[in-house]
Amino acid sequence: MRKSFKGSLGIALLLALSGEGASAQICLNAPGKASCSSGITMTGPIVQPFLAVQQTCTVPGTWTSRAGAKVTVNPNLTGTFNAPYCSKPHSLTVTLQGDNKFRVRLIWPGGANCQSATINMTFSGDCNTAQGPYANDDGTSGTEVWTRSGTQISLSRESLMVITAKGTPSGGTFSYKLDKLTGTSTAGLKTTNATDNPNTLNLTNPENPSGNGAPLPGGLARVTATYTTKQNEKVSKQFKVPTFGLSCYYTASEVDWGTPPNECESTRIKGTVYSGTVKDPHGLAGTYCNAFIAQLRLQGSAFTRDNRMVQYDPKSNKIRVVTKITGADGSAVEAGRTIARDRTIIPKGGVRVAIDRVGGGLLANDVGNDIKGYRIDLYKGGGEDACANFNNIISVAACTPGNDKCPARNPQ
Amino acid sequence: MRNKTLLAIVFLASMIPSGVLAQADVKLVFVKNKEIYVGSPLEPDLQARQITSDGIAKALPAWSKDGSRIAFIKGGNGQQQLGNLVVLRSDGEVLKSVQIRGEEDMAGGMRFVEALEWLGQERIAVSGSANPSLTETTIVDLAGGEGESGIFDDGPGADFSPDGKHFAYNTGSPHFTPESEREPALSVDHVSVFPKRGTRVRFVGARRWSPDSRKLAVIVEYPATERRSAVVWQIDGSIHETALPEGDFEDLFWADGDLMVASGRELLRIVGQQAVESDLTQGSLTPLQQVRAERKRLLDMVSDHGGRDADFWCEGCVLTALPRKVSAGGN
Repeated sequence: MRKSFKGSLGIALLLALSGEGASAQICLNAPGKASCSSGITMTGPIVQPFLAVQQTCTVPGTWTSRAGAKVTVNPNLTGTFNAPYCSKPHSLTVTLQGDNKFRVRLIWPGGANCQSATINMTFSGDCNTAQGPYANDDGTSGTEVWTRSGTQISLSRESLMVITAKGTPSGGTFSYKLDKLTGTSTAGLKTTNATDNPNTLNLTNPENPSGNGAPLPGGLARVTATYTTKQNEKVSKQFKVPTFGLSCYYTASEVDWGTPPNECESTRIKGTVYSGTVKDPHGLAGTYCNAFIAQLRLQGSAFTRDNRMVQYDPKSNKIRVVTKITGADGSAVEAGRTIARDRTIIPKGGVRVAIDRVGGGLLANDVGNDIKGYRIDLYKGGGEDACANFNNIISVAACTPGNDKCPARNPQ
Repeated sequence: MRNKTLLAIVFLASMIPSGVLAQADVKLVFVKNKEIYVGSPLEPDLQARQITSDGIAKALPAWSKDGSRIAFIKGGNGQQQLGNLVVLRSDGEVLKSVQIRGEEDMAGGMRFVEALEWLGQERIAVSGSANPSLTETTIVDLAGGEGESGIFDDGPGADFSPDGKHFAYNTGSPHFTPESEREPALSVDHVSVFPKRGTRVRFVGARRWSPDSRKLAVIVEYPATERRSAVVWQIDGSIHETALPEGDFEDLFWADGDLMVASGRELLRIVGQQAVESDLTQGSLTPLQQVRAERKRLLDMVSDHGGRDADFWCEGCVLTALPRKVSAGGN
């Protein structure tokens, strides 16, 4: 990145942070140069320490570096770094690292006077500057600052349902468009005054159109946010929002089937009525209501009255006590957190899902024949009461890590 | 192309002239703004006529087999209340209203109603999932006879023969059961029929009853070899299995008495114990794909008019090639 002068030419700048209000100098150590010598001195306001802000900033756009380089980052996170002190532009790639950090790798195409480098950047609170340490491939290092330039729009998502858009230069207007990509029950938009800057966009959840409360799938929509300046220059950013149709499921519980020996419920399964009691059924010691054991064999797992987890093995026709119940992905299910989903939408790998009006950190580790497309079934534990009063809503969601069908919350 | 296959394709294709149903007697029913409407999918504006008006939410209207009555679900809250099964004449006269299940009987059964299917003139199958992998079907007898509850399928719900007298479902794969402990099996009328105990298979795609209700077909895959077979159960209890060549064969349908097995662009006809390849014009759809496409087109047409949960009735037309189970996801 920085000039690396061979021979007698050396350029060094010293960065000294000496307190608020003082000017700062950037030291660019030339190869072999241990200290600053005559050359370029950059002055400017002290770089304030980055204040951690719970928001997500976007990198694509145009920037100006502290040393005057023109930086262009494309939506695919590649671009160019055109420094006035280099004879050619660097190419660059950006790697996102969490909500407010990114790494830039500058690749020097070869030749004298500059070199490749790596910069680790952190956004400022307003997303319009980023700073961080850089390291030249020759080992020299320093601090870099980028400032956004040109007409730009940045999006940050404070919460699942609220997006803040900022446009520069000021004085422009915001507009939004929603396209349904798949499904009919997708998110909606609620906008505020188009000239407010920053501008707030609220996502809304669709109603469940089912006439009998049954769950129905959501879908995927694309939102395009556009900032138009007074000079009619437009810049847009897009992001996708999934919605999922929800339902709730539970494992069988002995308490739902009465108390042996005289207060057992009955149930009919596949043509057979199960009533009364049964002793030591299928290897499970004790006396149980027959209806409960039949439900356990049907559903595969259950909780006994004394909170033991039991599982039925169709192969051996035995019931055993287990320490955990495992979802289809191989990890233990968690009541109130495990969700069954379509793996073509939310893949394996411990994906966590945040769903509006349900919660965050839900673990996608189960599946089901009935759960296809933008549907999610939330596991709530044992017994019928676990799902009492659960409404089969359709809600906006986000995945971590995200993918094209269930993107992350970051509108990048 | 063998003559019989050509006959089958021509037979079905002739019922879909240019992608538009041309039969005179095609009826449509759907839900819009909580009410039931009837109309005609052949008319550009559907000529929809509202036949209910009580303001209570309704779902899943389904034509009876003779096209004279409509059954649907009224009420239901997606939790403890399944709602009522209501039967109307097509002019809106209420003939019957039956509570599907009391709240006290809910544990372990369907959580909400997701599909309706007429099994005959007086019996209706009501189904819904009990958990992500298990679906219960309850048969309601409108004549006051004994229905049946607790028909559980490890899948999207039991499949009923066209005459409504037989049903098939899968067992052996309870939810949360590890894959290694599962023993998938096919049952017909509560009797396990395939495979033999100790043999591991995976059921692929849908089960299909023959039009005469005497045979049931399904595709299975053997995990050890990943090879697939078409399995046919017959009313005399016998099982016939035909090995399939390599390929993603997932679809079955009956055409002119023969079982057809489809894989994307490839179509086979089962002749005795052999799967015989049929020619298919490059780029053309199988009859099953054509029926699905036509049904989707009609459903989209209704959706464009603000309707949902549509069902179509026609006398012996191509739409009857698939089971007429009205479900929230479209038939």
